[in-house]
Amino acid sequence: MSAARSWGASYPSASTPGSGCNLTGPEYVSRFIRSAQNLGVECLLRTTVLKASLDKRILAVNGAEGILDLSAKAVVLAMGCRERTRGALGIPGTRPAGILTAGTAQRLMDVEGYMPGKRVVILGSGDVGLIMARRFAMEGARVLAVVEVMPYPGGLSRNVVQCLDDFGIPLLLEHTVTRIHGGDRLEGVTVAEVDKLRKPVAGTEKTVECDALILSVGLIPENELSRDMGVILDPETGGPIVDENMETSLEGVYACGNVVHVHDLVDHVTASGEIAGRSAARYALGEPPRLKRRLLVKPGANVRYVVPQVISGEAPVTLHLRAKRPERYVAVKVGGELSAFRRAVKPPELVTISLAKRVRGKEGTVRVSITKRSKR
Amino acid sequence: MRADVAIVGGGIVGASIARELSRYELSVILVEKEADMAFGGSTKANTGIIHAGYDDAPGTLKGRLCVRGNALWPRLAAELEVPFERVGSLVVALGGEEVRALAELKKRGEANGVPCLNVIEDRGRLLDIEPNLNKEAVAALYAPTAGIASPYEMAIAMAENAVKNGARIVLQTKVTKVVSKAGAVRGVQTDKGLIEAGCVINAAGLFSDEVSATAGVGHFKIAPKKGEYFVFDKALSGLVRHVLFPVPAQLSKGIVVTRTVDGNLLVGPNANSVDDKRDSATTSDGLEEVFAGALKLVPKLSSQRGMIIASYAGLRAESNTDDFIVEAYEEPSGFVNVAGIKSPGLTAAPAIAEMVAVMLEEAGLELREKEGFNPHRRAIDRPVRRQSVAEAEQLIVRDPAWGHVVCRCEHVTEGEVVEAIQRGAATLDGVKYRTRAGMGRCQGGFCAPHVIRILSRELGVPVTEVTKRGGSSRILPYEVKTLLRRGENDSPRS
Amino acid sequence: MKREIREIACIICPVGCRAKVVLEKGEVLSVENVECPRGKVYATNELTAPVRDFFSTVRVSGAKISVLPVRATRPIPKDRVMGCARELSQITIEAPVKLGAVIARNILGLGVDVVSTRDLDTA
Repeated sequence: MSAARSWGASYPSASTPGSGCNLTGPEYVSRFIRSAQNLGVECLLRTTVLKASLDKRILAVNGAEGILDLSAKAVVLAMGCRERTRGALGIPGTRPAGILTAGTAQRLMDVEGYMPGKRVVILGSGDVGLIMARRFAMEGARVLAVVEVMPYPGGLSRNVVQCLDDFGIPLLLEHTVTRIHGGDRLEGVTVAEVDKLRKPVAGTEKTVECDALILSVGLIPENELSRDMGVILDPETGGPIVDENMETSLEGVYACGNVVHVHDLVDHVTASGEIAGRSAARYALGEPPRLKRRLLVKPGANVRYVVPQVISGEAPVTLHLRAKRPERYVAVKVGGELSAFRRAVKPPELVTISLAKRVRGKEGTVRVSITKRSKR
Repeated sequence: MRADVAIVGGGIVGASIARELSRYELSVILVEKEADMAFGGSTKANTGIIHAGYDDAPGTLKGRLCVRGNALWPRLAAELEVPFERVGSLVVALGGEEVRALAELKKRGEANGVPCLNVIEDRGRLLDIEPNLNKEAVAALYAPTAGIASPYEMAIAMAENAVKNGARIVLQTKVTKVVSKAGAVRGVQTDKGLIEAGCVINAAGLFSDEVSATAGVGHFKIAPKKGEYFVFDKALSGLVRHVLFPVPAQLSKGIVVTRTVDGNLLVGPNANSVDDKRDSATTSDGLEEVFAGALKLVPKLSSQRGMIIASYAGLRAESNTDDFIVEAYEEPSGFVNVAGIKSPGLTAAPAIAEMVAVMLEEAGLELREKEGFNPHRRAIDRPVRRQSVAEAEQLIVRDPAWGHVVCRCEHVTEGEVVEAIQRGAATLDGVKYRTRAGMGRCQGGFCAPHVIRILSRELGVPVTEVTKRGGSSRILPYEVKTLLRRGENDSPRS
Repeated sequence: MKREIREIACIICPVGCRAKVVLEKGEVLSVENVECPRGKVYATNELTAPVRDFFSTVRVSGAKISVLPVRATRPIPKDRVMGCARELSQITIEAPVKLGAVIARNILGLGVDVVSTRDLDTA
């Protein structure tokens, strides 16, 4: 079930979402859509789930069928993320027309066919913001700057080159938007440098005249329904705690994709979906996949989070982790044992570790850490 | 255009007066300069508190009209089907000296006729009824008649009911001058033409001094006083149960922490003078001030910054007189000022309207009760939001749009959006204030494209012409490809 | 012979080596400071004949949506990207459209077609 008007709503645009494949978003999604339809999956669009409860009872609504009251054997939560808003950031100033989050701007531009302005400032250099910078430039708008509060870009280097450098769009690192100006319509923003604590530095303010401010300042896993059901969430990821079968703290309730944590490559999203789907199917058929053992995976040195948070240690599993700080030449250790080397880790880029061997836990816990090693 | 009474201003005061006068055999025209009711700088940003009435001195209009208004609100809210809850308020004393102030307020309230005021001095009991209150609280004045309401919903509902009962409302029409001749009011000159009227009621809020001056009545000045707010996610709605006030300072009732009638947590307002009557920008310092004020009452909020979903500011129409200005004049006769209505303006509005009707009658206007007057106004139905299955199914069967949720955060359906447009919304904000679409945690990220499309379709205007709140606030001014075709903005590297 | 040394950040992996490329008359003589062969290839191509995958959109009429995502069948020269975008802005295609349908043949004479990246039915 989806509230959107079409499938693959988060990938309407012309862009390559994955690392290994050379497909655009829509091409990638259409394969899965076709496959689902051929398998006879009942697909309900424009359908909103109003309530979900502990006992897997789902209350949903759409125009064609009215209120749907379903009792599910298994549930897969795949609600994705919402975008952090100007309101949540608390940027002072006026509240004119012309301020949009990047995903909404993308939908309006690449599905509905409208643009919010022709002189654009983008706040946030995550991949979505970078891609939107390129989209705006390629649609004839002037992108005046991408403003980033951190000292490094939030997205992949590939995107910095191909979305900003290619188009001569300045990237202002260690800057932020401190004020919004304009009456009915956006007229400009004040941009200032920030210090090491990410606080604006007085005296560095500059006003940039613009008529569109695009916000790409964070994705937040949308777990309203998960909370409704009583699923336990991980405060670091913002999403449900899951095990290697993508099962949440509730039996028969699985989760996958961005609702679990913010991914950067669609390949990982797909993989998590396939695991969750397979697990949910087995559960519904009466053969619930169970872990032989439950080891809690805990983030150690320089690790912000690891997903899944619970593994058996007995089966091959792929761990996704996010570093807290950028670091060069690191060793990733799982349960104290060296698992992989990486030439570099950066917070925006998910680190993926495939574990094939048995993992030994200590008192039911496995710590994952990223530590510096010497360059070989 | 011609009417018996012309009301200048479509905020809560103007709306209340229009609704009150629509009871009588009178032709009434309300003139509002913005694109919708309550779109000015004050009403839509109001805290939404229905005050008990202990803040203002006995003998003042504020004192009297607040208590009277508070008594009128429950029935009015029921007649007009607008949300209202008598949650009660606590004025919280955090130290010994502040306790004395509570006794003062209680005395004042009782003199004003406020029922059931009670100073709670037992900290245990205080924390019982308000668990997340600052543990340093020593006492609180409890006023059970205080409540919470939605200021713009009430203004809109009053306007709808007034129109249903024969009043006319003209929007996007700015009054430039009150016209009088031979010491009597003749009407108002607007940027869209003259409206003839034997009575003119000035409820122009921030601009009421300017309007009054054109009538030759210039004894007061309005100086805008800004108030800033934070809105928190509904997940925090259970954090406080009453409207929480600090002990009032000289200039204002102080920074409040309250649940809103829609289930959000609201914090604010501060009170800072500004020069420009149109300056409703939030400020970095102001927002910090508001947050700090909130922490004094509910320290737990310090870890909840991540739950903020919006911030905004409004402007109080503060006059340089001590009290509300509700006056009729000998010259020009037929001119009534209803000015300087700041707090407790929302509470007092229905009582102000009553008072104005009496004043008009005393000035010679005949008030005959209208036979077919219908006090009831039906709110827009929202069974999907209420999860009322049977009612929702009924609506959806007739029209599938009532099952198509366009605002995921607030569960607003296309049916409600269309009805809002039929009831007068012509802008994104107009739909927002009537349905709550766009007021949830995603702040319109999901629904804005839907609502824009529906506005375009229902109003028969191109998407590029749809505005946020009228005027030049076009949301999507360009169709894709038009900029490329024009050849503008070539980036340096192409 | 005039030699030029250009620095360019490699984007193949998160390390982001700053490749030092020595060029003479537009030809790459050597690539230093890269840790892997893929980086060498990338740096070489970027400085001699940079190409880009091209994705954009065209207006579409008669469908539920107004914009159709398209892509070039092969990478195009980097400096022709905006030109292709402008060329496509003149086109409005009519639904229905099939995935892979040619929207612009041999765009700008580059020997590359621009095709639809999705199926799109009539409204």
